[in-house]
Amino acid sequence: MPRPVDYAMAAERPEKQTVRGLWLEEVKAQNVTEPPERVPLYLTLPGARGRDIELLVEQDLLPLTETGAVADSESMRVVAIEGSPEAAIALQGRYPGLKVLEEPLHGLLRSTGPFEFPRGKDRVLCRAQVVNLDFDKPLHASVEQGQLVFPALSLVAKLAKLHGADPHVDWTLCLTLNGQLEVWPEDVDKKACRFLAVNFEDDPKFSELAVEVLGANLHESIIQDPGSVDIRNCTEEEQQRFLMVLVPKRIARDVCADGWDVQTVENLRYGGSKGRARMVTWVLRFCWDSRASTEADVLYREALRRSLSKRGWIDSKGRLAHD
Amino acid sequence: MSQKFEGEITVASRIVDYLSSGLYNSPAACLKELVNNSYDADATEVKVLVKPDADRIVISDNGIGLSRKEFVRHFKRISESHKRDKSDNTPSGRPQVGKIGIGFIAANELCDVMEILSTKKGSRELLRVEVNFREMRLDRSSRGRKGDSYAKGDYVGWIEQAAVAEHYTHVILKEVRGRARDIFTGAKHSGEDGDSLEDRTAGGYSVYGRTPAHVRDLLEERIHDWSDLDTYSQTMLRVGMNVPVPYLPSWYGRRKRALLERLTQEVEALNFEVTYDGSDLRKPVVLPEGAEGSVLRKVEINGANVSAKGYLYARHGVLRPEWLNGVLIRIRHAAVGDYDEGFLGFRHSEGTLFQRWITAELWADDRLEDALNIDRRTLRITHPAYVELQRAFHEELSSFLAEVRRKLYTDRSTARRRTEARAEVGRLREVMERPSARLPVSTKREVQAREKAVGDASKKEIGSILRRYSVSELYEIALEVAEDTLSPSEYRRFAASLARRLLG
Repeated sequence: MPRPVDYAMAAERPEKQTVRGLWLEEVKAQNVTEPPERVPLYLTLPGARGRDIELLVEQDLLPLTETGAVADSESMRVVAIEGSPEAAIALQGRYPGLKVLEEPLHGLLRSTGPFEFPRGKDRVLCRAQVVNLDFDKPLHASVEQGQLVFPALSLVAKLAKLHGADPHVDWTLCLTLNGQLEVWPEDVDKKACRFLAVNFEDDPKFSELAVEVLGANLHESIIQDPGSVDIRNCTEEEQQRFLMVLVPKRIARDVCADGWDVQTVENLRYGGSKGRARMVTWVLRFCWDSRASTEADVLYREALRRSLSKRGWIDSKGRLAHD
Repeated sequence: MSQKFEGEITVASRIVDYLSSGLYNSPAACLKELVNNSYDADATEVKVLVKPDADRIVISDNGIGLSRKEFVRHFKRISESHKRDKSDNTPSGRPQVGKIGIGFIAANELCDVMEILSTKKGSRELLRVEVNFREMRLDRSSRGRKGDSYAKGDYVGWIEQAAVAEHYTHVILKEVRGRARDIFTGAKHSGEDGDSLEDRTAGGYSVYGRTPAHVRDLLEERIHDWSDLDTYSQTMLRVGMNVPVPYLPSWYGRRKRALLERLTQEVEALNFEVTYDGSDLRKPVVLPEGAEGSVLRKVEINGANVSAKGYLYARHGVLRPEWLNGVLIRIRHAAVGDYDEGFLGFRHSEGTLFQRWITAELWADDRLEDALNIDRRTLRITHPAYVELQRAFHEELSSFLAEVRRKLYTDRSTARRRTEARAEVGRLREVMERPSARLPVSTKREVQAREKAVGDASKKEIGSILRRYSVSELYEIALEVAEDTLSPSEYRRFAASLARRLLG
């Protein structure tokens, strides 16, 4: 029985087509680089239909045989993660020979915890040049021992650690989330606002750029009294914009000390019209930078400022515009 | 006064353990059991997914599905099949292959964990069960169950929601065992993905991702034996050989063969399509026309204990792929093991040479099923049905061998010699027609007539034309003729001149 996520991922919405086009460009860009041996080109959560894989096939980035099976020589070039056995079988039936890891991402990465990592073949397959996490769901969060925890972003941090293992692999993260934050508990809401307020105070340049994303009122409220801001009651667009500031900032914080220079290629919002879900999507390049060992803070601040420079939106006709 | 007692004879648990381990001689033999299960479930489409690394193997079909109740009944006690409780045929009328109730246990030889997802048409229940075969490898004492029943593996199941219109069964083999995984995966492609037949790798040729037409060409042109293929392809083709899938396109060449055409249609009418990693699975049988022709014979056996039909086919020279040298018996469209190269124990002394030219397929009726051993690849040779089939087949084979000898050897040899004789007379005529010969017209006509008559010449006459002479014999003949036709002085000159010429 197809799941709602399968319908969503297979949908032919113009906005989504544009997003898939961005993913494709990243795959093409990474395809010309020479990664260490046995590194997959593309790791994805494609759903039963595998629309993004279809694009790779159309663009000859994933060669097929005369029967439509993935060419044997390319068998580990594209790796799909699919926790549902039915969806995994449907996907592999569509692309025989495709490597499908039949478990959820958090299972593959051995939970969101920071201590256990995949081993053996799973570890190899996680270190892809392009990782596409098209989550379709809102960013779940909780406060644990006074700390904000975002399971999805913890997985990103784990992926960054895996890619950073010797020999490191420069990579691109394509991340998509539902932009609605009504699901957040109150403590998360307040904690997230405080988190941004501290960072605005700490880095005025970042704060300045954030004004343009959040709008002066919301930005001011966060700085003045973060405890009074209720993001869940903000407009849906404001919730999207909040995530556009929060997510890349949080990722940069988590990974810069590990040696990654995070370059934001796109920071976009879309959806909301014609009853379509409001989404936020990012394309982030992770480039290994030896300055991390001595100048991690510099690396982090550069990443932070760049995170808001490529912000924009995709309209209902699929047209992309930057602010 | 005597006391009556009665009871049920039960099989000791350990025997079941031994049996299942010794049943299957290859991963293909296990896999075909699962594909035949799909056939018995009235599936028309089956997908087998093995590549890229056989970490997990999927057999997915659109058959009638399995309910929780049916699953429990099937797995409650191994070797008690309920498939034929009501009928020997499936709801769509297919003769069911499974009988003994051990098909699913084949999975135990391939993997540690098997997951089954199944739903029946009209049901909202999705059965999801995980069978843990690893349990069986635990210490004996920890595996015992109440009484004599022996647990091959424990299972845990859930009932979930399914769409009413859906009906399918997915069998997922997880944690595939090391050696089986290596065989399933085969050797890696080393070269480019070409469209030619140059698909040979270190492990042999591969049929992965190939169309049936491509596979047919490969079998006809390149493959001599199983060892020419990588283990992935061997497994795939062995499964194809066993299960009720159609034949390869143009499997018997371009020549019109009504008998084979009929067989092709009969198998296609079963409407059972299996894809193996996206490639249409076919019976790996090719009967190419030999350069010197072939002989095809319809076989029909109607005995008191068994009936069978099929064909015998021979071509001049060794038949390739060599796995076709033999007879393959099918019962209910599923093969009994591989081709038997001994032709059911045919006398070795008779026609040894020709046996390598011959292949046969026999579809036997259900009475032979009783002779089938539990391994489904051998037959009990003392069973009346087998004995009768063997005798009738051997009679047919003996007669066929005589026909093959005559048509492909004796007759062909005579025809070849006749052609050579005609050419020889033609060359003689050409010499006689040289201007320097200045022979009378009547002599030339005589030779021309002789050339035309070669077609009807006897073996002796042909032998006379093609006879080879030594130099001394030739000299003697020439001198005899010269003595009769030349004057003594001319004779002496001719004899001396000819001797010089012949001695160089």
